[in-house]
Amino acid sequence: MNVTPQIMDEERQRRRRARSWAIFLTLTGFALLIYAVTIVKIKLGYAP
Amino acid sequence: MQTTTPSLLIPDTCLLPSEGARVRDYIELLKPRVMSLVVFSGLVGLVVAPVPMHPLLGFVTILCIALSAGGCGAINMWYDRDIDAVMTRTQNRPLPQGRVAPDAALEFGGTLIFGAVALMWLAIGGLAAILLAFAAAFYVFVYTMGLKRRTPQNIVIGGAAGAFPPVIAWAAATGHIGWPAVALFLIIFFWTPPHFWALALYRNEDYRRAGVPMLPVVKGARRTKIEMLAYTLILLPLSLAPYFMGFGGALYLAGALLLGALFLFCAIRVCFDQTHKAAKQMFAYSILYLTLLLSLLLVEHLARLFHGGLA
Repeated sequence: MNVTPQIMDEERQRRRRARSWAIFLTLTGFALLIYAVTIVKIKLGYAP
Repeated sequence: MQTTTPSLLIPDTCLLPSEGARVRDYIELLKPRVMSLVVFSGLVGLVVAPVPMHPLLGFVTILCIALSAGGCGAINMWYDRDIDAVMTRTQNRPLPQGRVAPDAALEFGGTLIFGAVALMWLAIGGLAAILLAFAAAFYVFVYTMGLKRRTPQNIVIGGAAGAFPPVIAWAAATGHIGWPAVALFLIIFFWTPPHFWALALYRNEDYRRAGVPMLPVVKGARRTKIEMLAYTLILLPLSLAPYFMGFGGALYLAGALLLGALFLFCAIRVCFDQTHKAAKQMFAYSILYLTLLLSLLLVEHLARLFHGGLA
């Protein structure tokens, strides 16, 4: 199979972008979850 | 005709290990089958707790237990990559196959555990987070790095890590550790040896080749079968504890007796079987046993909840 260095670079970049997106979405989800939990706890009277 | 996008043209072997890793490889690092039982036992701990929890907080508790269990699985695969490569059962895992770089697996596992404990602390509370961290540390440092390659009692002591989820979930719901949670802990703790040794009996050669001192490797099949029977005999009365402690009903009692009798039958059959057939069946049944036993508790408590009369 002929795989040129250019195609390999493109594939590497694509996977790095995918990983960056995955990390970004995970951290965003984490932050949103903490936000939602805080709202729930305030409503339930747990938090100040 | 096949499309010619770069990702379809490039075999993973052309890339560095961590670059060739795909989502399914990382999912495999989490040991999804182990995780599902851990999550389920945690869910039961949450449901049987006498304090109802807000659904979102309950979801976060289960999520944290799942993430931590997954992280432990990833670190376990990182540490055991040398013996995984030797064993038939594990040689297709992402690390021995070079689909995930060892450092990436370690970072992935560590991040998951840290994130799970942090989320538990922030969202639920200190006690549940401490228990979660303790269970993860116990699995990684005591079982994986300490016991697994040193003693045939590895899965007996290490089994405690897998028994923690109901205790963690109970602590998340109530803020303390209750006796019912301890009873669930003990049921899972005493279920673990016959479950694992059934696997070790028919994977004996695998473990011997990898140099893992599982009980059948060190003491032989006969001694293992006797110990499996002994643990089963301890497990059976323990499995009735939920009924006598008041958090399991008549349905649970009847189910536990029936399932326990079958478990005992399997253990006795293993003792008299010279082939691996009975051990394989016992391993499969042990998973079904714990799942059904915990399901009975879950069904009873959910039924009480829906009928508005949680005792």
